[in-house]
Amino acid sequence: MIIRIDELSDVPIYQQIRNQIVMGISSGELEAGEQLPTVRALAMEMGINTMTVSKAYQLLKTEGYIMTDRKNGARIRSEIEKQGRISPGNRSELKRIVSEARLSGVPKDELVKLVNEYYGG
Amino acid sequence: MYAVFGWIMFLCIASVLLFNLFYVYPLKWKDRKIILGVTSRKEFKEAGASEKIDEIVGRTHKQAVIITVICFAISLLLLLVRGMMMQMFFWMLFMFIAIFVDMVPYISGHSALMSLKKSLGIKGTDGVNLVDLKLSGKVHALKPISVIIPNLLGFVPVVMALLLDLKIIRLEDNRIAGSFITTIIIATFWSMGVLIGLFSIVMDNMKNEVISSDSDVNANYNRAKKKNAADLNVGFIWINVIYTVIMAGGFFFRYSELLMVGGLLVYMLLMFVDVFVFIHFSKKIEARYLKETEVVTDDDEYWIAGMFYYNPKDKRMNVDKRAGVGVTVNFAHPGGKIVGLIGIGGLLMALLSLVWIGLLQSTPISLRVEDSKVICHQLRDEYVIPFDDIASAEYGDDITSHTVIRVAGVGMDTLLKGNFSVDGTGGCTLFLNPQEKEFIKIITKSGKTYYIGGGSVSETFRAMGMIEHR
Repeated sequence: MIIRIDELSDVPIYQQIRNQIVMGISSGELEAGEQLPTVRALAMEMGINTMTVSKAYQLLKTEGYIMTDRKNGARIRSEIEKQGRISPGNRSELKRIVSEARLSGVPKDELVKLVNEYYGG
Repeated sequence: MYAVFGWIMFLCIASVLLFNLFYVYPLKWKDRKIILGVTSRKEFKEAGASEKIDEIVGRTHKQAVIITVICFAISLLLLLVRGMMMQMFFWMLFMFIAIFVDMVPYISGHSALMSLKKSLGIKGTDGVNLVDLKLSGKVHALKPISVIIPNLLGFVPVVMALLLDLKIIRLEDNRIAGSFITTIIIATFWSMGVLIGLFSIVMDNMKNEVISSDSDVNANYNRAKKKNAADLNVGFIWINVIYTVIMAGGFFFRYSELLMVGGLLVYMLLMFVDVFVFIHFSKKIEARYLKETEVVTDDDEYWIAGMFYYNPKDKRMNVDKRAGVGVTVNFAHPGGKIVGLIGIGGLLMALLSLVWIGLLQSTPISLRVEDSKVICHQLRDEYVIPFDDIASAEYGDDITSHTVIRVAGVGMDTLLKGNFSVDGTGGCTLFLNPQEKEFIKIITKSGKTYYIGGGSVSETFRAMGMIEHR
């Protein structure tokens, strides 16, 4: 799975890592139980501070996407808690995306098509 | 012996020039990821741009051919220069000029390609860092043991040499034990192997390049590249160790300068073979994965003249080279800055040493007796031996019949000056022109030994007469 970090983006790097791992889990690129690289290995590979990767992993753990232990490192959780609702933050982000799309003249069908593509099925 | 040195330098420069001609200045640019330090983009292969690139690449290649031919001709002429120091002086000077001049077409071609890229409206992938999550910390090709074993073997002669110099062990007919010259030379060669070992570990841990969205392709590509680099470095270390052992054998049992220089010639030839095998496989790997390359990372704007990488946004210290093969440093990284400063310092030192060698070569030595003192003078060096400190003085007719090994100081065809070991006796101070052969050996009351001579035989003879009548 390829992680794309945009150093010029306003989104913090740890958030970019977190977002892309979540997208990887959702798309199936990262499978349940799959081992993630160690904080040090990923930080070295990305050329960033270990604290940044550690922060991303902590966030993923708090949100219930991964589990960590001293022996096995970080792994994708086998069962991710299904809350069945969109978080307020994501709802606000989705509203922004839809608003921008409407203002720039993107047809509603196009948006629905994209949602279907990303949601799968 | 200087002829052998000349051939070594000729081989070095010829190899670099030929390598640059075929690798840095390619004619078939379409199968390259980097052309004259510029990332090859799909727009380059479209009509219009393609012809312009053909023209730029063709022009720079032609210029490189002309420079290579001229450098070859000068190199052949330099082989005719007589004298070791003269050869060293001219070869070093020529090497600096040749390496610089040979890169001029590259810099001009790079500039032309960057302008073309700009005119085509192609932008770089600035600030975007791609990482294959599944590869992080997993792709390695170097087994640490393959670096440790040869370096441990190479350490044996270092210990042997040290024991000999400390006279803990003794060998029959070894006239240079005690001078520490053997230990210094062998340890220097051995430390090169250790440095290459450390460098190979750094290379093996380098960031994996992302060329595809398929992690297996990325893994195989990076593993192949790292394996090739590991083979090169391990090969280097073994060649280094073998030469260290052979050289140590020469020092321990039969010292011969010709054997040393001849061995060095074979050593360098083997190194070249190792490099050429590496280049061959590098090209093969790039060609093999070219079709599968779908992700382009374009950070051209951070490459100064297509050669020096300066990217403050990139936290990596080591990156793949653009002009040639191997790795270079990111000069924006603190470690890269240190390496850069060391490089500039080394270059300045080398240039200053060239000037210094020239001065030493052209300034005659003088030996005179004044106010009951023997005074040896050249440039800023002056050795003064008062008459009342001289315990004994004898006249020698041929310094070349003695085994003279430099410990610290100047050892040139026309000048031996400084601390030397003579016939196995360390701590001797020499100040003479060995081509004049005749010398005065003075032992002082404090036990110091001097071997001194003037700029001419008559000067030495006159000084001896005055010492005898002191």
